Amino acid sequence: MTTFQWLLALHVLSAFLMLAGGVAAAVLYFAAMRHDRPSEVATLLGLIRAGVVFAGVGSLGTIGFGMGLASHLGLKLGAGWLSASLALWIVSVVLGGAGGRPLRHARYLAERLAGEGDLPSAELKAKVAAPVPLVLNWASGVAIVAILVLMVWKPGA
Amino acid sequence: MRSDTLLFFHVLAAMLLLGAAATVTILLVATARRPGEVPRSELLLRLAYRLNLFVTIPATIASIAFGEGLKAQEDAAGDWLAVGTGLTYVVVLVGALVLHAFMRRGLAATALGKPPSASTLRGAGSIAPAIVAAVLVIAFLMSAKPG
Repeated sequence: MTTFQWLLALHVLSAFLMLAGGVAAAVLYFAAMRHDRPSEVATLLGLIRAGVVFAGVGSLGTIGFGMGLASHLGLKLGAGWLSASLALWIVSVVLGGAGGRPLRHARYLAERLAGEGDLPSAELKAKVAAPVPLVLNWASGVAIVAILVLMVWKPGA
Repeated sequence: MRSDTLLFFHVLAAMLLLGAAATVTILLVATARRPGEVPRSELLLRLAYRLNLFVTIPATIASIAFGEGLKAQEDAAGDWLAVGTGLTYVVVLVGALVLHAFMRRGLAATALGKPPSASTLRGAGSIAPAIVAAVLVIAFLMSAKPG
């Protein structure tokens, strides 16, 4: 296999891991929103960490192997579709990170409430279903899909 | 439909498939770690079951359909394609259907207040990561096209 084939395959695999981690986190997040018992919410939000590991490894691999691929092919980073992809990658990582922080605090609260009788709490419900992390996580996911659109169509290339 | 459109939906479906299969694996590992906790096992197993039924299986079918369209349009051929297609049908599609049956059996047990049997969890817990591994191998073959 050539260097190009290796770089492309590792770049694509990383992108798969990145989106898979995002899907895992989203599914577990939405499932947590539908439950009231703190122990259940804590379990579901706790499992999001596994998805975050997938997404984190995938994000780093996508950018690392992507830059390597661009350099190998002699592509200029100023090309519209490439610079837009890079900007969207940063947007996706920043929004995903910002959207995850309130959920981590919600998990801490759920774990505490689970140990104090495990009764449904309006405060926990409000934290899990808060609109800000929801919008941030949706926007992060949309940015990843937009990167895929740019990678497939390469407008202006 | 243009090749680029087919490629976009083929890749998007495959990414959703991997995400769903990875989530099912995470949920099954968490279920296996709580053998005596029936309500928690039911919560995790039910989510895994729905995810497999409503995302993994449809995404597999969509990925196959767009992939077949792409293959016909681009007249693609090669060992990488034959192995990738074979793995998709044998490991991913059949695996997702068998996984469905295993999880259904596990849920039937929890509905009676019993924990899912060890053989059910072992079966489902080995198929889900096999699907994840197969999708990663297929993605590698489809992008690198070795040979």
